[in-house]
Amino acid sequence: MKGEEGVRIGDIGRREGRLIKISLSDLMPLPSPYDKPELEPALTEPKPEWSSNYVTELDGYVAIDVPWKPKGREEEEKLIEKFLEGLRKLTSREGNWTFLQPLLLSLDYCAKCQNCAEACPIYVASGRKDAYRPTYRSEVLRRIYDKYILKKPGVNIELNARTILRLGELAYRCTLCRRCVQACPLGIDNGLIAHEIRKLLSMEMGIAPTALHEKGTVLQLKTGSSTGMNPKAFMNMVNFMEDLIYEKLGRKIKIPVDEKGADVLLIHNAGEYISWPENPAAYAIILEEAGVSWTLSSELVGYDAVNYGVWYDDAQLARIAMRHIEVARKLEVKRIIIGECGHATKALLVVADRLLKDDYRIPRESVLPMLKNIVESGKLNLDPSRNNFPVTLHDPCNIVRLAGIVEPQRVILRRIAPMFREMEPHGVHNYCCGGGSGFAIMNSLNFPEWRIKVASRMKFKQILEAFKDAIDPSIPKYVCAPCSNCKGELRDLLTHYRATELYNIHYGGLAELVVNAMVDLKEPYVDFTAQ
Amino acid sequence: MLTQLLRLTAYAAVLIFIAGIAYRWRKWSSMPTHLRWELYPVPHEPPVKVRYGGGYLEEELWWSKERTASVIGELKELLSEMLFIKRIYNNNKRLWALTYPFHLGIYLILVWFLLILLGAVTEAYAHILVPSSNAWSIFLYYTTAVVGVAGALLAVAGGIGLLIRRLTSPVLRDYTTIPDYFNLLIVLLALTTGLASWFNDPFFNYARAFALSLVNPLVNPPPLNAVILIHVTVLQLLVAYIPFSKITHFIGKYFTYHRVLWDDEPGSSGLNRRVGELMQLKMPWNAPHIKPNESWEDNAEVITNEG
Repeated sequence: MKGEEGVRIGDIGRREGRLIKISLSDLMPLPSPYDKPELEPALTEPKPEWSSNYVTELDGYVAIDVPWKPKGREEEEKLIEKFLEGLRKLTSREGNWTFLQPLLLSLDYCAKCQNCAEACPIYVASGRKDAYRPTYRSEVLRRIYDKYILKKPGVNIELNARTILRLGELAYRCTLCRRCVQACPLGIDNGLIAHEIRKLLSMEMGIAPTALHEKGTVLQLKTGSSTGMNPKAFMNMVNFMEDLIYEKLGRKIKIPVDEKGADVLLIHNAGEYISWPENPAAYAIILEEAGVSWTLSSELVGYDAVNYGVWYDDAQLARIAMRHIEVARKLEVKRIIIGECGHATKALLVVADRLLKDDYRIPRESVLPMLKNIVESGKLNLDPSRNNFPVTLHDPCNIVRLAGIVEPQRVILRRIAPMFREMEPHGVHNYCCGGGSGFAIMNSLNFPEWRIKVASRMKFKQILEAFKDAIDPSIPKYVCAPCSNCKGELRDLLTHYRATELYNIHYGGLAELVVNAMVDLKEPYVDFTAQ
Repeated sequence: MLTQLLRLTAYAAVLIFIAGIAYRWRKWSSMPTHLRWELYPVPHEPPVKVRYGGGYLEEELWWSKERTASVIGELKELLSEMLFIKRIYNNNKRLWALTYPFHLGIYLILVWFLLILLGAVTEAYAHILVPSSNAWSIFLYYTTAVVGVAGALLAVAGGIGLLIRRLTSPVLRDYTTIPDYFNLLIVLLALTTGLASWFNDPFFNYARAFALSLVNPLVNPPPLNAVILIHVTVLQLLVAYIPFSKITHFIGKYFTYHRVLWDDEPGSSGLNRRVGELMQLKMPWNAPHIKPNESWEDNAEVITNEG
């Protein structure tokens, strides 16, 4: 087996140094033109001082950027004790009714056949490192559970501080894309187990990456958005978008905000306003043209669809979902529509669904089906030849594999992008962008290097293969990613490999392409010189 | 005397099996309603959507439309997975070449049990001897022989292959625990002693006679030689052991698929009532952002502008 380095289950608590050694020569090769070593930026070493507070003993990269390393024997004992206390709660009805059945099924029935490993883009792209197998962290947790909670005899695992520290980091080496589950003959969910380990750390020990917790859900509940944007700043963004629309369209559009009784409350990922305002602006144009009764909200949390709770903490998930619903209730809208954001779509439409009862059951939808219907209705005057460049579609896991929304985005692209081509594989069998489960926004220490080099590698390979007939730098190419976090990851990925600069590969959302095809526009909406 | 004893333990083994399976089933089906965590493709969607893996959230105003969940779609997927082990075939042909004969062999042996039982019932209650000139009896006699031998050979070959695979791959050896080996070994022991018995009983006449003594307590069990005695003992131990082992993965598989990965049922009054009760549970977690000693519902309440 290629890349076999012989990391065994027991090594997680035993082996000194780094458990996994990442090297450029082991990584999955990239296709042409990135098969040249000079196009692959070198790896960096973690700073030695990091290891006193953070866990560099997994693979040298740090996802959990809060200092949580125990100092001395006593703190180590306490860490172990707290972890076991958390594991007891995680496997109890009171602590985890929300995922108890799926978790225990996955702990009980895995046949350890390793069928799932080849489905995992992280395992494969890393050069098949044993400890990145979807089964590895699961088996460690399973053995701890069997030995210390169920008290089964003869279970071979050593529970020490090193085991817990590495397991915690390892919970952030999976994007929760759940591609492995599709390959499992028994329906075992190794992605879920990573999710549950994160929950244990967060809900019992208060340990989670800053970007997800302190500067994520906590900041969102406090200031209204995980970007830190307050309602006033949001209103400024609305004005800015109105100006942008005027500039592009040649006429003024009033973006409705806090319109009581509107049919649709549209909630975007607030990151769009900061990084890609052309996307929410495109929706403003489209909805105006289509005559939809809609509104944005300027209430706290009402202008930011994100719900990072879905990645690491059930309490935070519920709090943010409730807040979204309350905003909609106050505005008396008929339905909430989530913009182009994968995890927000899954969080509010799927995962939080059963938490909402009685008058909290406001209908919730993804924006993609509505956009499809608008495009098909003929209300927009569209000329596909304006999108006369190669376009490929990235499927956000949370929208496609995990919410079953597959075709609407394709129907749209087939209408408006004559040079649309699929990646392989695509649809529900897609690969994650590498930024899933919060990775795209986790930028502390050296974590971005890992997510780009390892987690996004398969996606970059797919993109290059989709454009292999048009790699010529004179041809602009567009990776359409209807998801904010995927776009964030693609931005970092294309920047890392200078793919925009060298090969004219761009990325963006779906609505921008729709507006770009509108004949009323004087100037192209998608500007390839800007990126 | 020994055979008399084995007759009694046969009933006991079957009873333990049924009770154990029922217990497992109840344990999983009485678990609290979980949050939705589905995975597409979901096979109960309309066939046109199943083809590419889509679901009802693809429709604008999905909540105003009638949702149909096709039992046939789930059944089709279930059967293709059960009968052909499709997911392994698609992902790992070498593993499939071992696990498929193993499972197919076991299915055939289950059919064999049924045929043996039918033979015994035919003799006990229809008073037709097996074999005899009666067409049904001839059918039973020969199909039992063919199905039994084919099943045992396939299962033994596949089972040994799976065991060798586990023992020779360093990765699999690392993951395999003592109970995993024990499960495979006890199944293989039952299979190989079964094959050894077959050499003594090529048309399974002793097996049928023993079954006859089970369906009709007035008939005495046949005298069995040492090999067959060992086989029957091992088999009974296996039957009684199954509910306590991972061999019950057929139950697990039902729940992972039907109750988790394909459970895309949107909230409804019944579901919400059950979830509402669970929301009253006290949240036991200890992190600083959790309100201690308060229910899930109170914890879900928004704490904006706090701190």
